[in-house]
Amino acid sequence: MLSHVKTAILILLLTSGVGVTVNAMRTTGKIEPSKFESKRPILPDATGGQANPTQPADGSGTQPAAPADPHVAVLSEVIAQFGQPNVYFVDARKPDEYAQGHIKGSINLPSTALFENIERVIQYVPQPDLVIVYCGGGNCEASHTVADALRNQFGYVNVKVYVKGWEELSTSPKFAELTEVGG
Amino acid sequence: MNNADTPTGVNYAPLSASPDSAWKPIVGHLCALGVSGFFFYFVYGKLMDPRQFAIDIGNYQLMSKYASACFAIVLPWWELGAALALLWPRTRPAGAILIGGMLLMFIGAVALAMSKGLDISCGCGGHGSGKAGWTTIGRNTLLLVGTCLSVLFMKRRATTAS
Repeated sequence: MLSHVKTAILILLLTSGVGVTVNAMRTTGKIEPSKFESKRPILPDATGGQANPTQPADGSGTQPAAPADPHVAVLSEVIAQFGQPNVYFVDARKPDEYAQGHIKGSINLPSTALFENIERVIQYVPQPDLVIVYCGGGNCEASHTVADALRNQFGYVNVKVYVKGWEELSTSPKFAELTEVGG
Repeated sequence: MNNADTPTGVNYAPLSASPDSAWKPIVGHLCALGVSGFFFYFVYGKLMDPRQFAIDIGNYQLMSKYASACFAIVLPWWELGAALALLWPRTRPAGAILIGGMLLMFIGAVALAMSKGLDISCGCGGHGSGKAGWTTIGRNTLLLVGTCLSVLFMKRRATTAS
């Protein structure tokens, strides 16, 4: 039994060396661990609005509200930015979910096939422009994944995540105006 | 059968005298082929899009993104090495230890993701993998059973007495 464990350890060591070597020699698709750090946003307060540091939430002047997170977009901002020049929306959900409904003009960049489809974004979205990424909302990680990749891997400097995503948008009075089906 | 009974002094780990045992090595080989085949398929997907695989590991939120990326560099090669070891009878037990350990790890990770309510890709075969859920756990459990059978049904080698 011990000899088998030793063989197993040897296999692990050899294959680790191969993996590191092959990754270092890659010209495309190379994993650079430093580019995978995540800037997860601080969630907005329970009211759903961006907290204003100059106006305390209860007006009493005793409890200052949490500072706004520059990486988070809320519904009011999504509505305000919709249709603006130099603002792009990215839908991080799967293609079939995107086809069932999405923000008008948004680009579908599924988090499960991110690098395969990144050209859709790179071709049309200049790096300095504002990119708002959304997915289903709730526990959906896709928007965070895509936002991290846009910042860390592809040099986009102005990326926000609409954390509450489609779940909240679908209950908004502006839903019909902002969204479309198909694509 | 003991040493005194064999003129050459060779001890044989006894094979069952029953004719039913003839099929066991065949089943063992088939299980090894099947499990290795699955792993070769999964490894191909991961090596074709390694950065996506790094993202998929990170989505499980079991370690930092940096650690996930480091893990993504070596894990496909561990799987490949283990799958190859499983095919060759001499190294099959070592391969089974590795594959069994990895499958238990994958099952645990998916179970944890489900308990957290994470809606993520399993990352099993690179991009395009299904959701991390019961299907993944079921498939990995079957592979674990196949791995165990591939070793249990191995034809044992003659061992020389010291």
